[in-house]
Amino acid sequence: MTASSHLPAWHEGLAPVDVDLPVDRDLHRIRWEDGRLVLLAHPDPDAEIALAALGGGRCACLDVFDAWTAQLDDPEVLTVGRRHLSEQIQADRTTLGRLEREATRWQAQWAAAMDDLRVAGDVNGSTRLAAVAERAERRLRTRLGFIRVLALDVELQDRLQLTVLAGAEARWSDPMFRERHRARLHAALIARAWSPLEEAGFATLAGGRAAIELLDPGAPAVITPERIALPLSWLTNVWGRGVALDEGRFVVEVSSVDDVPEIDGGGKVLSVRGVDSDWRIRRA
Amino acid sequence: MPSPVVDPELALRLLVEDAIAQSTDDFRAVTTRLNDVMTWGRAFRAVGALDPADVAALVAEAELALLIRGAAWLESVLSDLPSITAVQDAAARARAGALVSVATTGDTMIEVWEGALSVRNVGSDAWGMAGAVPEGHDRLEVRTSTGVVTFDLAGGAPRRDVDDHVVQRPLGIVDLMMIWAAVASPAALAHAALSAWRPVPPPDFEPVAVRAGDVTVIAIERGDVLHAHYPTPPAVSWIVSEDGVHLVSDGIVIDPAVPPPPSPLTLVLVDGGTATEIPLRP
Repeated sequence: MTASSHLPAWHEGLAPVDVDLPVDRDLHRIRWEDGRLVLLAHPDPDAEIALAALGGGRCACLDVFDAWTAQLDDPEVLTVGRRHLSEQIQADRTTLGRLEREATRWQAQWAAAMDDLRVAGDVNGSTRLAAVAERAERRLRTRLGFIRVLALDVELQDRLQLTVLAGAEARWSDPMFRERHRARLHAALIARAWSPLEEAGFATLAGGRAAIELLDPGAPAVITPERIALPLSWLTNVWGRGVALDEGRFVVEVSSVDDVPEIDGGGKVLSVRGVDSDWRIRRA
Repeated sequence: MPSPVVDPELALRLLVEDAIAQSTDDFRAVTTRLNDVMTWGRAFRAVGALDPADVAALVAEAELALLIRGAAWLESVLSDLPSITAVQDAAARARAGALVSVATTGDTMIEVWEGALSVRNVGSDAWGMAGAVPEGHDRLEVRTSTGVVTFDLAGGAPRRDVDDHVVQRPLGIVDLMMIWAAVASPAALAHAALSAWRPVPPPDFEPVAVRAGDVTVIAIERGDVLHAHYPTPPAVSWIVSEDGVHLVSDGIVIDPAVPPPPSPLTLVLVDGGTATEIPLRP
């Protein structure tokens, strides 16, 4: 192949995802596009969150937004979300409804306790309670928002995983971040790479899946019968595009091919480099 | 056994992967895997290799991962939000004023506050306030399934099983015997006391009072949650009912709901390879 190539941006080639979140009797559209979550009904979510903190009304969309943002620091979606694109998982909306009712009951109890303290004139007590309760309520909202994401759409879950992983790559140079999240990201890599590695015939690795090494983002992968080492960026670059396995071969890298005419009437052309193989052409 | 990796957190996370790889229909297999995570989590915690909060967070993540894959019997992990307990706790503390005295009996911690008494079941979120402490007495006796603490309020110190205490001034006496469940189950006390403290409808207890070996089952609450107290927790336990099998964890049955009376209900305990069936409702 004579065309030049480059690693695509992590979100390049990924289709936008639209989902509608039920809000009271309405539906609010949430969109993931070009690596970002957009609340179409809330052009400035940060401002609305600030307003809500001052006592204004708060839409469930904002809980989703908060939860999405919180995942960048505490990416439990990598444990909860799916490992293979064929896996069909989605939180049950009935379950979500029960949780929302429980949260409402809890909030009513907290409000009643605050009222009691105010009526009793216990300023110190109400101040102490408010400090604790506000933190707890934030956690509750974030938890609810995360479960709403899980109940909304499985593709949105995937996009959240990729957004989180791209964020981790960007922060990988921070030693504190690496120290805190290395094991989680390493496990996420193993969980997503092991099955295609098995299918491609690399299950004979001494030490099994636990011997798979995690490399820095962008580092070249090493795939031999004796050693398997993958960069963190394999997850966004390959797994996230659903091409971990191509014609029975494990894919270690996906790169955009420049200057190649569109084929079959359109679509971006990506090249897929497989283990011990030549360059491959794959439509995205 | 965790996989042979050096990083304890990675080892635990790979055990979580094993649990997730199990069919969620096979609750016994999933439970075994989750028990592996908790067992090794405790071991790593004990040697200081992992922070307790990290282990707890990992277990919670695993449970949520299993739940959205169809393990409906884990649903209570969603509603059992630690934040709820934290706020209840903080609210009670804020109402109670200054701490007067603290004592423990095995797995139960008892705190006497200026205006109230609280009981906490260590190792779970069971917790409750017994309301205002009446005046005019100089002794306080608190009975739980794991011990008795007598607070000599005039003298200021609990007389036995004392881990720590802070005494500021004497208080009256609280007779916890008036809450029947308090004798056997701090968890039931928590519910009873909490309902007295907050103006919410009291729980609808269906008394069971069944004992088999080390296990005492106290009550079925609202027909959908069963409180059991295990001085020595069995390795595995679950509920068998007409509509399926429900996991028992830490003494509290996980949703979906246990069928209401008169549906038959059996608690199965497995310890050391021996299964014991306790008919809760014949």
